[in-house]
Amino acid sequence: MHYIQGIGMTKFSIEDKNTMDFAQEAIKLALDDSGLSINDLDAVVVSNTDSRINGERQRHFNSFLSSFFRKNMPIIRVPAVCGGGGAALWSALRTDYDNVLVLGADKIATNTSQNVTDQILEAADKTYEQDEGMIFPAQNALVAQQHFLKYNSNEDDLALIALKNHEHAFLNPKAMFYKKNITLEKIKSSPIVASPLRLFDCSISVNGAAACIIGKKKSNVKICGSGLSVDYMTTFERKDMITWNATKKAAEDAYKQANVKPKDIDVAELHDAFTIVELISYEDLGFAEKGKGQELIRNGTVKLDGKMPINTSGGLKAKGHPISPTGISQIVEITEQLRGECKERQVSNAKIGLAQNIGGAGGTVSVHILEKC
Amino acid sequence: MIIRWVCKKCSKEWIYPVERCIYCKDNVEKKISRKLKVVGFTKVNIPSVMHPIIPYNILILEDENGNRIPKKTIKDYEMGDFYEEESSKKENAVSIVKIKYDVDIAVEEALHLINDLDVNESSKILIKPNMMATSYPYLAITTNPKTVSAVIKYLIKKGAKKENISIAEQCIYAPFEAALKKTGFEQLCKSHSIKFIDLSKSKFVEKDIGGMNIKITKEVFDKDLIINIPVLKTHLLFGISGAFENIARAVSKENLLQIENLAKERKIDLDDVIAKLHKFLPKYITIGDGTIGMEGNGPLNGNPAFLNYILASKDPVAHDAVFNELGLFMRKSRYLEIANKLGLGENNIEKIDIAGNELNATARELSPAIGSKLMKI
Repeated sequence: MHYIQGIGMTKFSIEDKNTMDFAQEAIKLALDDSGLSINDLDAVVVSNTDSRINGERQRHFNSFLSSFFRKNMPIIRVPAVCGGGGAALWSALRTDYDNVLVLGADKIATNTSQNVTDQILEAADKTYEQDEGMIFPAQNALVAQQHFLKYNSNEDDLALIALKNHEHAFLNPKAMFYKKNITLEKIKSSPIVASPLRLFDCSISVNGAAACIIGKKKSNVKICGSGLSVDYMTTFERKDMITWNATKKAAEDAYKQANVKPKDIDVAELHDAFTIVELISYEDLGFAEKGKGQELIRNGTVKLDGKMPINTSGGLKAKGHPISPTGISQIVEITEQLRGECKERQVSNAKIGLAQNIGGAGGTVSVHILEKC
Repeated sequence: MIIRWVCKKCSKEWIYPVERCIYCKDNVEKKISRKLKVVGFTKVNIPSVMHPIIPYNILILEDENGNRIPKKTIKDYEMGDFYEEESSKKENAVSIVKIKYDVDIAVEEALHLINDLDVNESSKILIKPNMMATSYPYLAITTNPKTVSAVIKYLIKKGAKKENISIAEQCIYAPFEAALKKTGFEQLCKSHSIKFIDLSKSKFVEKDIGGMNIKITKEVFDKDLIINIPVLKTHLLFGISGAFENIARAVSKENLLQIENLAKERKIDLDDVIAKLHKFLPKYITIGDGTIGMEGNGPLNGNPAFLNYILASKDPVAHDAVFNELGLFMRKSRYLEIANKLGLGENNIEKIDIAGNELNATARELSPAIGSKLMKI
């Protein structure tokens, strides 16, 4: 059994610092939180995206970290695009070390939106998707359209998800949209990026880092379920574009290990890279029946004062999405919720939390379940 | 067109080529479906590097077996509409076909879209690729042998005899034998049992082009069909290297070097010469090799552009004009206008019949050839 020893994350922002500076801050916070020192770490699992567009050209980030630690130890890099953080944690949990630092660090918001869009597009299939202009907003717009057609969901449902996550981010000092008031009207009147998705249906690219230290020593939060699954690269070659099997399979494994059911989850951080992804994840994670995900946002179940608050951090949508750190920042939020440290956005009596992190359009999905000890 | 690679025995499917089924080890065959229906669409309003022209639509197309593919288009469609790429019978038609892993299918489709080639068992065919340098195919200085191989397969499928097909080129700046080996053409000829003619050793006929005595290889005058296969590249002198630049090596080496020297001394207009040369050449088909292609300081010092498309046309002017547009080059190659005035083909993009992929749905900004102090001569 692994326990959370310490957590730390930078504010997610468009601040212009080196990736290593973000990493240092998150590592320091996690070490301080754990009471451990660098000498106590046995290994590091890191995820970062090898961005070509931030001017750093630091491909061998694990060795770069060794230069920072001034120490020789196993440091491995786990790339899984936007799902890198969760995949790194999943990998770390399968090692036998006493203390492992899991880190995600990335600098994305450093270039024109054309270049950033193009860089992110590299997570898609070259021949069928990149060549056909299938940027990620378009991928997910097509998923939204299918859901609307089949299950009678609509743009208003997506706008409510965006609004909820902005309301949560308003309360999170680490969020990009902290204390920024975003209204439903603003969301609904924002420009269409890829129909039917509007600007406010899309997460925001930011810079930052997040870290957690996992270990065998008992603490107040344990990781009781850890699942990861991978699906076909392209949504169009799957039988059903609106059921992401990798989420279903990863969740099934995590629930089984944790011996819990979806209804037992008190708080969850879902991968809302696009509002539609949050909606279909309600269904794929078993929080709602297939085709009924929209009911959870319509009836307020997933709001901060609802029965199962989702994305209390603001999610990728409003906390921000720096790619690799995202999955670990979800673990930071769930840990803080279980410890009761979330102040204004604290979910009362949260005992079991879930984090779902996705790479690509449902390509690599990890699901982790954490429990208050 | 949707291509699936399907196991004959267990019916497992892949979206890219698989030699044998990884489960039952049986043979895998290509299945192509063309009757496609729109089952999803989105209009994209934000540009990216690869897709600078907005708005554009992405359709989800589905065949009768439920197989789907995304397709970029500028045109608007509704749910349930049928999607079809029609073949053009117009002489100036240019087909644009994106390669979906399989160059053979892309070449076949590109030729189908320009109403196919009239070939039979007695057709004498000359293929003219680019083998101008001693260079590996991945650098895109020379024509990709995969594209030439696909053309040979197409011709044989249409009834041509191997013994009637030859490949011909000359090296201006490199030893012929070394280039033949490094470019992959030696292996290609061996595997297809096709002969490769060194044009520098061929017989020539003299033509008076603008007061110059120019020797043109006899090989191009005694064939039923000439297929010109240029690499789609940028070019410091012409802007682009396409049909015109590639076929120019039908001229003798000494003439080409003479023209080059006269151009350096500004005694002749290269665009004028390359356009007028076409008045003395027989008609030919062009298949633009964009399997990789080049951008930047072409034709020798550029970078691979990974275009991933094939062009085909019976009109060399239209072919090169389309490539000029596909690269979104500010500079329009001047020889196109001269050639158009000489009645050699269509250079007005509005009048060219585009078949297959739409021009604006395929175009992306390529770095032009502007020169650099660091360039190798």
